[in-house]
Amino acid sequence: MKNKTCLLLAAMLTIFLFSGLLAAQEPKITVLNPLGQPPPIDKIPMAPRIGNLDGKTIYIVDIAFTDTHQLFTEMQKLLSEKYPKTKWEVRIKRGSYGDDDPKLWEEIKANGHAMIMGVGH
Amino acid sequence: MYNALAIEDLGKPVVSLVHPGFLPDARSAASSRGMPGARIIPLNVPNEGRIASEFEAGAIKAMPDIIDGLTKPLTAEEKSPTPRDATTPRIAFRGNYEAVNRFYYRNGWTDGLPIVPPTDAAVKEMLTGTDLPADHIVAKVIPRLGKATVEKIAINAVMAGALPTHMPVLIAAVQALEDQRTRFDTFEVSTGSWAPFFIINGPIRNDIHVNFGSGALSPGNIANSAIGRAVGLIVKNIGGARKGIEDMGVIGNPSKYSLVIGENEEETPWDPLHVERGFKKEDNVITVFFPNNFLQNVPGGGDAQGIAQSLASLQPISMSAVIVIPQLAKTLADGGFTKERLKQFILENGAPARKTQTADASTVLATPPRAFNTEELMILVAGGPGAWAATLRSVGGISNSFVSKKVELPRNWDELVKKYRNIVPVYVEY
Repeated sequence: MKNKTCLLLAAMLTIFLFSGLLAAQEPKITVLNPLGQPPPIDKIPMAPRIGNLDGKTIYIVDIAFTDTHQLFTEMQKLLSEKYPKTKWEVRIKRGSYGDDDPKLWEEIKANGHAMIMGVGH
Repeated sequence: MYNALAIEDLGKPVVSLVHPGFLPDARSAASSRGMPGARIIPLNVPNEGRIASEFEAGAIKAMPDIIDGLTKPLTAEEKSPTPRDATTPRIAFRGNYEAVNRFYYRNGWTDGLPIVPPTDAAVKEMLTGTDLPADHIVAKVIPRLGKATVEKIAINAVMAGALPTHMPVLIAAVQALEDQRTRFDTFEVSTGSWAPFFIINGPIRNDIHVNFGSGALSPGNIANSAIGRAVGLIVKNIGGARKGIEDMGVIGNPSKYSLVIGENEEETPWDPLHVERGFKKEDNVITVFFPNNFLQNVPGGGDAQGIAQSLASLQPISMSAVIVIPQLAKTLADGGFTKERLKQFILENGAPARKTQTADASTVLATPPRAFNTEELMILVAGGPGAWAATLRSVGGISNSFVSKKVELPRNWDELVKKYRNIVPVYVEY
């Protein structure tokens, strides 16, 4: 019985070592990178923060994602109550969330001090 | 996010509000456009929710972070972000077949299935499918505008199990995705899980065995499977659209594995799609749009009117493809339906009036069917014997167009076709 156990263990060890040897001999292949190279990224400097909200005009821009307007209208109400010396202007971006709205950006550039933008949900 | 960065660039500080699940997406967008430090605040409000008390709670919780985002001075890192090395080495890895697959999977470079290792030799062979040089840039693929060079397309094509004879189609497909009219920039990344649907026309269908007959949309044909799969890998690897980070499809879509069909030009009673769209019959053309919805029915009524009515009841809406099998197409044509007349019929008899409710559930309104023009509907003849029809619809998206691109063949096309033509399944007879 003891001899049979030893033989069995020896056989298992042999199989284990042999399969390891086979795996080590399996040919290795060199493979190429499928990733695309993105363009070099030009850093956009962040604008300085406004420091103080008093007397400022802050735009709250809804990018026209579904149901954002109701959320942002509520946010405007809360912000106006908490920061009454700041003007909080809600705007909806023209078109869909994927579209541009240069006129709105011009308005913010001319009249705004900062912007809150989103979806939010 | 791109709008937010544009406003920062005008000198106005911005705080962006996103759902927490979209934070990685927002950060990826900001860093890819040059502002890794953009101030992005998570707002814990249910996605597309409408309950005022939830808005109030979420907004109140986020308010301190919003105000800090607008008022607290920039940190040193925000002023001068640490540059990151974005170069991609040409050689990715060396190992046995299993190790290569594990490596690619762990890096997020696969679609979950094993890939064919893209060795130098395999890619060189793939490149015989085009006359364009390996470093030629075919397109820049969204969202990260990765350069789809011919070699990169070939690498992903090898991974997908494509043949060199598929390269001309893949190059045209990538060109089509870059075309702004497709609005792929939105469809690939937004929540609706839209998948590119490629329709192939022209003699190339038979050269490379694109299935347009029985089970045309089912797995089993290298061309239909590998072309679609390769495009999926190209968008993921070259374009950088990672699931849950840039690709924000909520439920997902199995059609993203592959959705490719040929049109049965031999049995259609009408002009095939590419001729309808202004190409010559002998041109090889690929057309794409982005459905996320697939319906089938068995058309009722054996006559043309009954069949047309059944097709209309599939409710194809803006941007849809209706697939009609040859036998039904013949009945329709014999019954006096041209393609244009059929489209018009579907438009007039399709989507029913919808009822909607106002937010307080107090009023029920009836809205008329959404009108769309016949240019937003395509009729394809494909499929096998039987009696089914199908529609693939693009639901919930934004305005876009079908886009077609001509497939350019290499000078050695005939030799290539001869070499790879006989790679077809040969089923055992029981």
